[in-house]
Amino acid sequence: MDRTKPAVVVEDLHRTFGALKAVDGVSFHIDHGRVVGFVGANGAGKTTTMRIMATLDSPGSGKVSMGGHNVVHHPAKVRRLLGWMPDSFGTYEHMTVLEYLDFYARALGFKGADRLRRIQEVMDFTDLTPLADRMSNKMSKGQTQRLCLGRALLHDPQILILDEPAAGLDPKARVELKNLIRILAQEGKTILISSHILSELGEMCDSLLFIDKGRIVHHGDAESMMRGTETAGETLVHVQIAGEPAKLIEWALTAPLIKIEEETKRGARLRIQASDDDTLAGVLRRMIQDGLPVLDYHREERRLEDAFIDMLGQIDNNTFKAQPQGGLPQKNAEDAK
Amino acid sequence: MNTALPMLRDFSDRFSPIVVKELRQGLRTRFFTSALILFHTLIILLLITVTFGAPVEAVNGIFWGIAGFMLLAVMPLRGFAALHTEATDGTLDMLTLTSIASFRILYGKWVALYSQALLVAGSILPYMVARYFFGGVEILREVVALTILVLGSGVITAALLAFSSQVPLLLRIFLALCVGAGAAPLGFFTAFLVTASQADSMVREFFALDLWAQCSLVGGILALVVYTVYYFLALGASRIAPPSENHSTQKRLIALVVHGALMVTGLLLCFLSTEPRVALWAYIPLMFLTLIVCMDVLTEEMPRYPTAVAVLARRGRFGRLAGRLLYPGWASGVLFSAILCMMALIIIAGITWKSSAMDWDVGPFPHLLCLFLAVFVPVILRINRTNIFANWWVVQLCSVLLGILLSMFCHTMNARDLGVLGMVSPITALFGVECVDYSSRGGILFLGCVFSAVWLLAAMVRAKMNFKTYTLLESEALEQAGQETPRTHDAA
Repeated sequence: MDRTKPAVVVEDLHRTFGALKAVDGVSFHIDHGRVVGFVGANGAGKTTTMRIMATLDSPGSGKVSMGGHNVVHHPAKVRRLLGWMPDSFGTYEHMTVLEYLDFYARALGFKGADRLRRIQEVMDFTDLTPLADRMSNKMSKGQTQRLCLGRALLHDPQILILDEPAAGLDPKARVELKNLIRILAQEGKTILISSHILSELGEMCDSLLFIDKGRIVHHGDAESMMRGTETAGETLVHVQIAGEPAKLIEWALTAPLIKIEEETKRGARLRIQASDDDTLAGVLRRMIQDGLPVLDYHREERRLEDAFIDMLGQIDNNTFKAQPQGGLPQKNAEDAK
Repeated sequence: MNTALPMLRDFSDRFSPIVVKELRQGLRTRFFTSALILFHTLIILLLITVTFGAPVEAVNGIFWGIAGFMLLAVMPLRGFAALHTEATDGTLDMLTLTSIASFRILYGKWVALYSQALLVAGSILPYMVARYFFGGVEILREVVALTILVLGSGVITAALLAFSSQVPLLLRIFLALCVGAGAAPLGFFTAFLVTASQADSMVREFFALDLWAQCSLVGGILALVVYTVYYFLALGASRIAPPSENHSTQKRLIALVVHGALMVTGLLLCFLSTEPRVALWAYIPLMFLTLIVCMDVLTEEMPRYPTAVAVLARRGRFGRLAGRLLYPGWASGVLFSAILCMMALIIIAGITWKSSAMDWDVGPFPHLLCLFLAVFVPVILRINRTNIFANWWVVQLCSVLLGILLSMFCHTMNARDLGVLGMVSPITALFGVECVDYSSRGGILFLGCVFSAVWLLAAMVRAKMNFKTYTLLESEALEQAGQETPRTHDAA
């Protein structure tokens, strides 16, 4: 594989299902050895894009190359480079963990001692050796996920596509999975992971791809994403008080420069239209002067989820602004004619 | 090393991975174990009744009834949801990503299921020997009956496996019933063989034939069984394969060869034999195979990727011309089906021409012409637009229901002339003809054939309009291969 060219190239990818545009002009590329997070709401087009990349679905139009091979023209070559882990685990009834891996190793062309050695390596890596005789459909979600990852790694693929690998896992299993992905990244594998848990992706990934309504709305690292959507001169502050939080809400409604972002169990998240330390300290001083029993007052680190939601809001606003003043949106106006 | 690893040596590397997987899973399922135990319990109980004076003939009938039900229904039914389950569990995707081709997935599943059926068939042999000692058993007839059941089981398993790729449960149940209806004659024939005394003369007739004739007959039957199994597996494979792959051209080429061979055999039997009806031995399998192949090729989705046409497109003008017959998709399927139907009709035309007992106007020829033309109706009528395969069956089912309604109406209202209304479609025409007076049947059948031919013409026009898809894909395929782009007069 030519490592000077990007490992993954997606150009103007479209895919429709009937009237639904599942993927609408998606373009991006991923360099070798990068770990990229793929983020979007349910139905945003993540799985469709990933399935096309994995040769399991076909593009309506556009071009997808994996390791320099077009997924439509050379699906067999792409499959040899690719490890795919779907969101459904895909285990079999009446089959042990060892038999499951043995079946896929046979299917991938491993023979004799070579097959046994490769299965052993994968089982050691995913820590499945103690579960070798367990029925593959009777394991915990975390164990099944490791088995599925093990299967995807059997042929030592250079590119891994992991669709929601952390979905439904308990915290311990999530940490284990994260560690495995970290090791794979250190080995130089190119990894595309989709997930809803943005904070985890932020930690694991070199960059993030945000998709909404079938379009890529952001491609960059987590910091640039948060900077890009930050509103200048505003700060989020989390306040907790003793007693009823209603007092704090009443106070915030009348206070200048303050908006209530969200009510919490013992207080509120407030958006203060200032970012300098003096003003923020002044707000706290006023709270105490007005008799609020403040227990906790701290500036919130901006979360990736907030940045994503803000970004989607900005996109919607821009779309709205682009429409003719006082009229219907363009498409509806045409329909009305 | 893990101590559990030696356990993996239970199957050699020479076995297909799918066979290994299916056998490991299949032999552990409760269904197989329970069915096998129940089957043997019933047979043992049945044999015990003989020692208490039960009539041997009745015991023979029940014995073969149970064996037939086990081999023709219970064992093949395990393939009913085989591919559908793989698809819904997400494992089919993972299989696609390995180096296993779609056909090998089907073939592996079939081998595993069929070998379990063979296991059951093998376990019948000791009971056959035991019953021989009780008396009343014609061992030769029973061996022939067991062979028929074993061969039939293979074909039915392949058919159910192929249809298990369909998503709608109702459609799969309907198709399983159709397969069951198709298998019923096998059951009846087996029952006839083991119970009816006339079967003796039939077996004796066979052994009275020359050795070459015996070998040809047995070889021909075996070849047909192998081809039918192959075709069903290829049908299922083309339904689960990624759309960028071409699973149609090879299947159609093999079909052309087999159907051609059957046609030639039929014509030779018709014209060289003193009794032209002997050709029906070639015609009857050819008719069923033609209907199956037409149903398959007329329900193929049109290809969307140049890779599906690349092999023929790169073979120059003749390759592209052959592609209009052999490319995947229903549009090329129309022309291909028309040729297959013509091959089947030629034999019937030959028999009718040579046999003085058959008429051209009300004999089998016009009836079968209507039957074959019926396969093209769903190309024009699209009741179900999302599932072209389901649409084909829905249209045929609706035609049959309409025909039955028409017959009932004509008979209850005593309005026999209204049978002419059946001309709207080939299937209803066949029902309509049965309503009218015998004297006017010839004319009505002729009209039915003419009206039915309109469906074929319309299907051909529609297919021609869709040939531009092939032209575009050929251009892309050639462009990709760095060759000269073909002329695009078809698109124009």
